[in-house]
Amino acid sequence: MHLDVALSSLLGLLTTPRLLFLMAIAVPMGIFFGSTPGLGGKLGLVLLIPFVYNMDQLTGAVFLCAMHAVVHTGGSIPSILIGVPGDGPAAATALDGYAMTKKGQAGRALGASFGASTIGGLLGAMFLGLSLPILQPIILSFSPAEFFLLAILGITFIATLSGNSFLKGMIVGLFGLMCAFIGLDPSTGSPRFAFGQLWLWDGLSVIVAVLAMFAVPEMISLGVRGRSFDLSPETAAKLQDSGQPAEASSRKVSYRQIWHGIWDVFQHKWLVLRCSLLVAAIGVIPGLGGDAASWMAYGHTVQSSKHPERFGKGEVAGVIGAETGSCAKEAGSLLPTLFFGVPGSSGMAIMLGAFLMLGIQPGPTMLTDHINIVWSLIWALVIANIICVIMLIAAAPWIGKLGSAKASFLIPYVLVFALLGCYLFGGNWQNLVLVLAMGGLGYLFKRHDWPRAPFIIGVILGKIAEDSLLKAIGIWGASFFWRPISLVLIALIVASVGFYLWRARRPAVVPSHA
Amino acid sequence: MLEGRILVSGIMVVVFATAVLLAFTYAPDARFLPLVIGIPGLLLSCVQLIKEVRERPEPVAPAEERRREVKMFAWCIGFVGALVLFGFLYAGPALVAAYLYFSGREKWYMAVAAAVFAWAVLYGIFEWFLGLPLFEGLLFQWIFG
Repeated sequence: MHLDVALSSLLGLLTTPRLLFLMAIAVPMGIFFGSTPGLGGKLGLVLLIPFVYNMDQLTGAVFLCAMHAVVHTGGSIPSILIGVPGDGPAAATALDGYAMTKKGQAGRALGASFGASTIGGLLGAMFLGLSLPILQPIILSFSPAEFFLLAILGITFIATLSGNSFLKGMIVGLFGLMCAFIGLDPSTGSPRFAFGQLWLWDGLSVIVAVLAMFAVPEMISLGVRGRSFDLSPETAAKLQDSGQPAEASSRKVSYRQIWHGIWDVFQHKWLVLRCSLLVAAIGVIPGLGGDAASWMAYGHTVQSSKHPERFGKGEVAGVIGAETGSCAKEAGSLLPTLFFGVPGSSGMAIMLGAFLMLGIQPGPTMLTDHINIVWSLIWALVIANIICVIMLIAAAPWIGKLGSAKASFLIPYVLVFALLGCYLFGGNWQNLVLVLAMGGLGYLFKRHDWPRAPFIIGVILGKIAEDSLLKAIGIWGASFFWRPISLVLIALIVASVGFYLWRARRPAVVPSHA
Repeated sequence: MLEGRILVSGIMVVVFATAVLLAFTYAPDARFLPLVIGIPGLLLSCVQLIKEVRERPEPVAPAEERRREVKMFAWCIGFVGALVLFGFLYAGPALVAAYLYFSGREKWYMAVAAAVFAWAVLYGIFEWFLGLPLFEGLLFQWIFG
């Protein structure tokens, strides 16, 4: 532990006005990139790299890190207020966050989201700082066999997220997995399910899947209802009893609601701690991807809850689990990027390029020669999260107005910008047609109570599972199951499925999730 | 009339059946996982379809709701069609204005103001500030090469 370096790096950041100013600029940029569907942190990094070209190593790295650290916090805003997630992890937040908005608890959901993402980010950074000396041998021992089993563990959460429509959940999850196979086959290089279309050789992007399954169906539903959101009958009745105008009361985001949400985070402290550690640890594993980590956190939240039947209907723990997961993984994925030159996520792959451009050579020497940069980046994550929560809490009542926007205004803007996001991500106009077709199916899923979350999990984890399985079989044959870490993961998979089956036998009525 | 819930299950059966049939045409290595996933998917979809067919029919949605659904689907097709043909910079603001005026029943000046705002964001932020080239539309590509 380099306590002196850690403290001097913190002091260095706090006493350098230029760095603080740059972080204060980077944070709203991160919120903007996160909250605009289709942009996201990766595109944000790509667009900001030219701006850091002339900066010194520390300034440039801190600026990019601060921007990237808060992207997911920004992504929670449209997820909660209008049910339109900006990316894969934000879709997990939309499940309960948007349901809370429908219950007239938008402010509480935003507060829980801001609080959980900040604490998740802080705990993730602490995890990174404290685990520096011990994680290296563990990370290096992970192989494709373990990646495959971790992906399978994530897929088992499909059952958890299927509610009482287990069969429907499994079908949608398997459909997501099938969609993940679109594109070039990793073993033979031949195209699969591409129908002779060159643009499908790159596969189905997660952004297209998320916007098709969530943004388009929500907007169609909004147009059919003709108003911003439906209050649940119980909430409408309660508001009517208290003599308040239902629409106005439910849409209002007050500081009181925000603090209520933040207080909820402290009441779920053990959940926050578990999700942060789980996700930061998963984020450390290169190649598994941050999207998967967030869904695993949400799956764990549902699985460990005493009331799984409440999830998907506006349970605040769902927002807390998903948001903690989204933000805690950033620190975890920074670790392999910095010390092994192996990016922990796709965003970190771009960050790696930026580090190299700035003259920072990732590798084990970071621990010896550039430990001050390492600690500065850890503190940048912490400070960016704190700046972000202060800015968002201050602006919350105005941000909340997004949720009370008239449906007729919301629909055309969301459709145009969601379709723009789909285009920008792949640069193919054909993605617009694909999102329309899949969005239609997504609306039918929503209309007839088919869970949509398993589809996203399938798309995210299908590719990872296939790539890793092929590599593992290529290296060890079928015996890869007998590696020690594999056995531990197999035990976890069995325990996860067993726990689900045990709980499914309980008489509680479990509704389906979005 | 075919019920929506049966339609969804039917679509899933067709999707999985097509995927499995296509997978059989691939090389053995390439078809392994699609078949491992596709065959159970097809079986489960068939079970779901049988369940849906056997269940009691759902009450039919009100005609007004069905009319609104058709209208929204038509708008979505219109959005994608216009963006693909005319690009984001021209079709985007026009669609915002058209939706607000015809569907939202807003005043014409509100629709124009919203369209100007959409154009300002599309051009100002995305094209000018961020330097992201926006899709110019197939029609303009065809005309101007």
